[in-house]
Amino acid sequence: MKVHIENWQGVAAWHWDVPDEEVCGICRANFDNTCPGCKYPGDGCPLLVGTCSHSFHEHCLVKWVMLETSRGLCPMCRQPFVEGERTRVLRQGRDLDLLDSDE
Amino acid sequence: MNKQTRLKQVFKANKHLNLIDSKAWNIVWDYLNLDQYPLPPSKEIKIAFASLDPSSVFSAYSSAVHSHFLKNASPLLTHQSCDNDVCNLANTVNVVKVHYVQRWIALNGPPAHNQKLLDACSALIEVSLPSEIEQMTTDLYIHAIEARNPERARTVYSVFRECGLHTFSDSCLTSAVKHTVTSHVTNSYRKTWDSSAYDDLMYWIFNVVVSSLSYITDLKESELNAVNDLACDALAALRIEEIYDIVCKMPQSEPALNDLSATLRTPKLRLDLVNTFLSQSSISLLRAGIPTLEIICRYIATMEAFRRIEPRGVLLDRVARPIRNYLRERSDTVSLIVAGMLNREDSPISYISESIKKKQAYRDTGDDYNDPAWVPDPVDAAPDFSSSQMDIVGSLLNIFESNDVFIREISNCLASDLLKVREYDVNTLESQLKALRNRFSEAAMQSCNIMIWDVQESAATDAHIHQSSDDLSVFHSHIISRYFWPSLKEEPYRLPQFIEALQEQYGVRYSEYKPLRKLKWYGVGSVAISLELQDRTCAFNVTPLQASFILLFEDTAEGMTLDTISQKLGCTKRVAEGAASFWVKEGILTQNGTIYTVVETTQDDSDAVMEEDVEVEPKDEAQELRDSLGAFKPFISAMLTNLGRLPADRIHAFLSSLSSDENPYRSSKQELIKYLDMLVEEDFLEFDKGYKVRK
Repeated sequence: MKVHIENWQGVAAWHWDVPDEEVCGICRANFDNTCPGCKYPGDGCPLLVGTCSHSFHEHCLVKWVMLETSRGLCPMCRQPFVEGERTRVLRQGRDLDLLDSDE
Repeated sequence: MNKQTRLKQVFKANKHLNLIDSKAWNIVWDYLNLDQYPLPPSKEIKIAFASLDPSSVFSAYSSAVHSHFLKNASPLLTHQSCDNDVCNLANTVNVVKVHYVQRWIALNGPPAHNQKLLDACSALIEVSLPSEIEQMTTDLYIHAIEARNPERARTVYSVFRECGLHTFSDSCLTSAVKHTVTSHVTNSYRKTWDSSAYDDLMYWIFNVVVSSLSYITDLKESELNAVNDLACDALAALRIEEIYDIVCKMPQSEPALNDLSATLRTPKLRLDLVNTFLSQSSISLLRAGIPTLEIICRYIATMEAFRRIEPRGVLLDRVARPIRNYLRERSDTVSLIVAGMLNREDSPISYISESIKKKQAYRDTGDDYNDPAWVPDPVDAAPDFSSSQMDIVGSLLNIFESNDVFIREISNCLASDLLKVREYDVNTLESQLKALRNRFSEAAMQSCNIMIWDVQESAATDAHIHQSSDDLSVFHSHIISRYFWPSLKEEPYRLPQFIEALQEQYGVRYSEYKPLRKLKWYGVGSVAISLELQDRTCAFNVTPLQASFILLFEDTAEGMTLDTISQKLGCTKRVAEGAASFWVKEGILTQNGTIYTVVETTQDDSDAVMEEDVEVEPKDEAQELRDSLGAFKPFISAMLTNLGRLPADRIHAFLSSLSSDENPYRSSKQELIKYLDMLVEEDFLEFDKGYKVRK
């Protein structure tokens, strides 16, 4: 007997390449889930890893940084928040001016 | 007997003894002699009467009437009635009345005395009438009304009326009307639900009953209404008695429901209707042996029927509650309803997907305080009755208190459908989902939206990945957002190595395309496969597990045992067996003992005979069991579906109690267990501390 496979339709789930138990430091939701204001996960609600190695939903962090009181600090470790190299590729040229200019 | 002495006797206790000798008294008393035929009084008699005290004469006369009646008229009336002719009796009554009353009236005494005498006479006649007279009179009236031949009845009625027997006569007439109407209603309209009985009945009442009645007596407006009401009540009573069957016969029985809505005038009838339906449905419908689907269909029919009877829905609210409560306990209610809503081809209630398209608020909003046409709920409404106008889907959803169970089931269905689609074509599923948006809130549908979106995104991603290299050949993938999908059930097993390699490569490409993201593979999906055998080529759409299974047999003619297979696949024997039975059923593999081999050529005769020889022994016993117990399979299936897991003891006891003459149950418990095990082998049941229907 010969077996020909015409089409193999697999199923996979995507997940952000971060430790599985890690959640957004602001909204406490898993990164594979959305932040509270978003409807679609993944490209619709990307994550942001700082040089301080703390990671957040991009939307959550931007909202935080917009606050006067945040003074551009990481909400977790209170160091100035600078985006790490890893997630910068996600922006694809779309710079988060806010974060950079603050420095 | 000497007149003097007789008078003395009559007046023994009377104070007017001094009158006995008076001449005037004698003249009047001669005239009033009851043994004589009544003649008009002469002038002399009238003068004599005028000179006397009328009260004394009256009291003497009425005593005489009393005793004379008991002695003469009473036996006469009783005797007459034995002839069974109401007309003769009526004549006799008339004669009797004339005999006692006329001579007194002719004397022109005070009118009060005339009336008193008449009343006394009527009372005497009434007590003398035999007991069967009432029935006879009623029968006469019934006949008169039905045969439209009211001549005799009219005479009898007027005689009785003149003799002061109108109470008696009227009550006979009333019961005659009652009887005629009731028997007409039951005889003509029982079980005829496809045309309006109400109009027909009203026509009949007007043309037959009322026309006969108005000939017999002068009908007053109120009496006319009473006759109509009587007819309405009779029809309502009949329809109430039949209500459950009428509901079952929807929509052919709609005219019967219109009858009900036209005749249901009083709270008592409404209560009767509700109670009758409740008791009938609890006897015929809400039982363990009835399939859930049938109950759902009946529930829908009940809703449509009672909406027609009473659009406000108070009655519906009361009759639907027990059915709702019962359906809530059935485990398959939700999935059946969802299958209907998603318009699955195999669902008999898929027509509800039509009504889902109409926009409707998904939960009751309460009373509208600005509605000028607002009226309070009827008195028989339940305290938590809500008057919102729900359609079929609304009330199906209303079976459960929250929509969550439906949402969960919908996303389960959607998930399994989506993972089966080819070429990422989600248009059909998307339009189905669109319809559901009318019923469920946007937030509730969010995960369904994301599932659709995931598949659409997967299409783009897959195209991109294949564009950059073509060494992935036939491998494609759905990429899902795991937080928004129901958890995918899967048994662990090993995919063929080349597929695993493709998966890995696909994963790498994906991570290049979507930085910082990785893929985690599931063992589900779908595979289009074609098998090239010596004498035929077959194409299948199978699960990855089934594909991996058959790939083990590629390029080998040797058989494999289940143990070897499960070892190679890295899965449990049960999982392997499931895949094996699929290929055996499709005729690609054959099972010989525990060894599976490929059927390269469709079996030639010698093989077939060989196999039959081998299996003769067990087959016989199996066949025997099937013969004796096969008839009970539906019972067993229904019992296990509705009651859940049961041990063989319980099943045995249940079947024994079901045993009847035409369907006897004679098997022993051991035989039953063997049969049940056979059903387990056939994958119809599953066994784990008791038998259960395999889903």
